[in-house]
Amino acid sequence: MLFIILLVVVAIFAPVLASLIGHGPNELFNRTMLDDFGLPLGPNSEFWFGADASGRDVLVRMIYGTRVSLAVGLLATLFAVGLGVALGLVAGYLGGIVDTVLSRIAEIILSLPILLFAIGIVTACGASKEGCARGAIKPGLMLVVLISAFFTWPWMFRIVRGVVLQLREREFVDAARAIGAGPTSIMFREILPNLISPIIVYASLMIPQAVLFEAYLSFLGLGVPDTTPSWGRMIADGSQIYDVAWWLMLFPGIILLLTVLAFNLLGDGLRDALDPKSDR
Amino acid sequence: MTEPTTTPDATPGATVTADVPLVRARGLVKRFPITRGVVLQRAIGHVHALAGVDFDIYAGKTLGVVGESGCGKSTAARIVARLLEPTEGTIEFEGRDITTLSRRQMVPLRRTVQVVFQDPYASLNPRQSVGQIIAAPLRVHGVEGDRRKKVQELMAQVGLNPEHFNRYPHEFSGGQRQRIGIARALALEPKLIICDEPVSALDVSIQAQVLNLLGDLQRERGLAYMFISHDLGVVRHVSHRISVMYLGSIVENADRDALYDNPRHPYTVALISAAPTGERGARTRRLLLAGDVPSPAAPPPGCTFHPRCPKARLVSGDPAEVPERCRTERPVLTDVGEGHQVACWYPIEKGDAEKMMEIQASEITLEGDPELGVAQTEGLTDAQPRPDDLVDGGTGL
Repeated sequence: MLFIILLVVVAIFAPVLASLIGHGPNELFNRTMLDDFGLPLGPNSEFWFGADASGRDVLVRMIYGTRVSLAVGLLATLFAVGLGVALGLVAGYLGGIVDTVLSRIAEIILSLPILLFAIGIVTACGASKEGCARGAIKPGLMLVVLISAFFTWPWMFRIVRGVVLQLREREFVDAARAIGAGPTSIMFREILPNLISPIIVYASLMIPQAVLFEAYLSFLGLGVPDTTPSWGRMIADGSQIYDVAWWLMLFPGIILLLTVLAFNLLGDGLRDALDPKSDR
Repeated sequence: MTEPTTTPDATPGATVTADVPLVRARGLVKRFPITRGVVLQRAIGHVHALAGVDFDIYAGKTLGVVGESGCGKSTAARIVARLLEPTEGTIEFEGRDITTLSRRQMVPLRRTVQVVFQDPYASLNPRQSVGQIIAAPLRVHGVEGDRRKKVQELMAQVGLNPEHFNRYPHEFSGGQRQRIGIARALALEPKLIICDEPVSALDVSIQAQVLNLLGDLQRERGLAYMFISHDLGVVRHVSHRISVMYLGSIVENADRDALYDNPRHPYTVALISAAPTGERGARTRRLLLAGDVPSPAAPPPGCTFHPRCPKARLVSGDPAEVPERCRTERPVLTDVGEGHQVACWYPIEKGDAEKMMEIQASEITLEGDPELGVAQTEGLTDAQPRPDDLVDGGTGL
């Protein structure tokens, strides 16, 4: 939890931190931080996490990368959860043809090879600045967010639908119907509060997935533009010369791992805190 | 238009008199399709949960409905509460046909018919506080005023501490939870409360408290109950009139004392003989029913009870034979005097019970297990092991 607050603070105050260190994210220090063969130098007292192949400060770039990772992780999860929960509630509670259609759509999306499709979409839409679909989809951060949300909402949908199918047979739903409550009221007042635990838990697992997804795409050179630092792109760049510059992959890798872990732990904690049966 | 109306309830909107029941159900049929197939579902048969059921519920009175599990009593209750749609038949509420009303049209009627459910653990939303649960009917029906005050009054009436309105259901015991369920049902001041096995999930010691609470509320508020139970003792305690159900049909309708003192349907006789008496050392002679309840997906022809009926075998005089009429013609509820109705071609007469017991005893002696046969004839059936083809009517409940 503390770690996540720290990440958020770092993301918000990235320019302040960078100015405290005194290095810009794209500032080249090729005179001081590259050796005679053009290879980067490792961590020292001025560059705590060393420099990359172009002589840029790894720490400052990681600080800026936090912004990208958190933005993608939170936005993509927000969209995916919103869509998945709303459709899952409707499909699970109403059943019938609505359920059949939505479930088939979700299954089709789940059966697609995500990375392959994502690469395809990004390549198609990211080729020019105008984007594709007559400029409706533009390359950049938002594209990564939308692709990630599009491919992950079916997970949330399936979980929500499954739990709703169980819950709607419970007597308290009959009780609500017996007092005359309508379907909307039952879905949102009776069933949704009982879904909070699974939603929180799976959302907390989806945030790191989205963070990782952005890293994959950036690793493949398909995510955010080259000038925007992101953890995935840094790992990708570092992988080319990891045998001489271990710090390039290690530090972004560690921070990615810690972020994923922190969100998972947060999910566990929230689930316990939100359950009225656990008085802690 | 000068033609005089023959019956008072034939005129819609006629003034509600004591003779017009609060609820009048006629010919209720409920079939659940058995489907097969994943994408293209087709019905391969039907479960006949209700096969034509009639009953009346009068204001301020309790109609008890008893029967084994799966006999359709809960289905009947859910249809009256309009939680299920009947496949056929009509329900009139105060003389008005409500069978085809839409959900929105039903909203005003919901105020007058409320339900108390069987399982107080499942019928309260675990994510809502007691205050929210009891206030829900008030909210749905847009009742103005101080809801919290109203909720606390209701809690006090059902014997809960009004200070506890902020607590969650899991903090209460089973009996207290059922009181919460009763408070919720009372919130809109209904005329009829459908109690679907309201005490069967509770400890015996708590059952009496909840039953007494229901009784007190009936006296104070003139409530009518439709009381579903498989427990004959409970039904006897609360009911004014009782319907006995078997395999989706009502087999006997009678006032409480008439039913217990003078049961006319063989199934009722078996049910009552299966109930524990509570007297120490009582030499109970139980009328055991052979076989299981037939599947409601394929009910037997004629009288649905004929494959297990001891009276039918008494009539035919041969333990293996059943009179043809029982096998082919379905009996309808017929008045046998003083509002006592029975659906049987050969209702029980005085002395039949003893004769049926004798046939049963001799059959068991003949069929095998001599030890059991002896025990049966001595009437000490309680602790004896039973062969598989003999099912005590009591344990099947």
